[in-house]
Amino acid sequence: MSRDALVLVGFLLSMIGELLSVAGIVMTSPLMLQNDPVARSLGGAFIGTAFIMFGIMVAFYRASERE
Amino acid sequence: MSGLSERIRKLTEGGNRMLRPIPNFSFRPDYWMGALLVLGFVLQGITGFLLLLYYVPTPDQAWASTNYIVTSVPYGSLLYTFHLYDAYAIILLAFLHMFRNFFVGSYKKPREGMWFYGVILGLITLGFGFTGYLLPWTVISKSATDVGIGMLNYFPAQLTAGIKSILVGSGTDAAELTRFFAIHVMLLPMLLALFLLIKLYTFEVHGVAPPVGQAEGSVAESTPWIPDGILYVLMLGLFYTGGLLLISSLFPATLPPAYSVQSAMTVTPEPDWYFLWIYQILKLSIFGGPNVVYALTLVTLLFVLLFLVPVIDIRGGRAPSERPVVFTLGMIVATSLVFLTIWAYLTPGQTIPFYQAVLYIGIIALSEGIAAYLGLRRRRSGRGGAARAHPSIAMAVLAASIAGASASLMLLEKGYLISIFLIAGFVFSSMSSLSKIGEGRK
Repeated sequence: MSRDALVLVGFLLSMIGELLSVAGIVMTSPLMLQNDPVARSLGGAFIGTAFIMFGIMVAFYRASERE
Repeated sequence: MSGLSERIRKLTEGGNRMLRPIPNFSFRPDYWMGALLVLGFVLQGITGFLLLLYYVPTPDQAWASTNYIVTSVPYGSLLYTFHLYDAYAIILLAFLHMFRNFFVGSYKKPREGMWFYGVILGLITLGFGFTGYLLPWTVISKSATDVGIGMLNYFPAQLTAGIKSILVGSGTDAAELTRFFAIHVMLLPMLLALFLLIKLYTFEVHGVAPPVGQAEGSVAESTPWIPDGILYVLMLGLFYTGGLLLISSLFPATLPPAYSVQSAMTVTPEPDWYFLWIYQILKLSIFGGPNVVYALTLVTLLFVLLFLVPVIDIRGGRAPSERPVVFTLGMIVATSLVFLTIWAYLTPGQTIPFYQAVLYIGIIALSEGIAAYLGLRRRRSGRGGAARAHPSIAMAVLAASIAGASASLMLLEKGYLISIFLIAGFVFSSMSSLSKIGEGRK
């Protein structure tokens, strides 16, 4: 696999990760608003993962821009 | 949209550009710790504002309102934990930032000012920690803060009257809490903003320090701010924020019990972790009773010396081999700080025999001194006898410091803690600047 293909696959995977964590945030937020103990950590973890996934996406985008 | 592109071009191009291109050597996380610190403070401002919506700064309401935030406010537990952990991350990053710039010698001419403002910002950061610790009015935080304020009583009254009147006022609990609150949310943020602006301005004037061995002002290949620089900072910032959010949600902080005179009798007053090294010095047997004045004078002297580093170390270049004594002393101080912190954590409330401290710190100092002597002594190169150091010097010094600290900890019969030093050593050495600081001048 060429370098460009690897970067593309990585970018797509992190995008899927981003979508999944956003879905997690949407699903846990009603419980978070009630301050449910389980959702308290789960929902926060989804928010954190969304940030990190977005960071990975940016990293792959940077890699694709580099000559 | 063409108008927008025109404005962006004005920002990044030409003589009056606001965003200068980034030298390629600085695309490494350790060059951006200051930027991450700014981000950390911005996040503190946001979460702090949200906490202020619910927090009530009175002795009978402070703990209850904090408890309400943690248990009943939507996302409250995450908010409280994030504010706390972000504070911890800031203090840790500030220490790393300081030691990194110490070891690569970027306090040298022309960046002495950056160091002075940095130390002041560090003290402001510790002030945030000291005042913020009291605010939830928990039994540990209130007791520990009172111990800290009580120490002022050992100094001549004329010296401390001013500080005491600012910190505690009439001396009642209500006055103390109100004043700490005002300092935490008003005075310190203003001072922080002021010194941050001065420091950023100085940074814009001098630019980023080139790697050791590269001459000041030598032309380095650079990359424009837009889009590469922005994307790099965005990436680092997202990892920082996301990592902290993840840790905050997986390990939520628990609020200790409320303060009351009765409950205060049952706990050992202990400061937060970043003050544990001072706490350990205060617990030494020779500093018992009124002698605590000498311990506090010693700590104050350490901070004064830290502030004066660029004035003390004026001769020679930035390479470790050109400033072996200062470099070695820095290694000893860095390792001792970590060691004293862990030691204090393991021995809460215990008085420490003085000879033990002399022995352990002595082992650290000796092992690092030997390693530094072996690694940093000047080697004559074939051309012109310029001072050159071996590339693996920094690694040798680091390994020795880890070994020294591990040996000391084994004497404490807590062998498992060695892993902490190994991890710390790994993180430290993975900052690749350290593997390069031994390289001689080109």
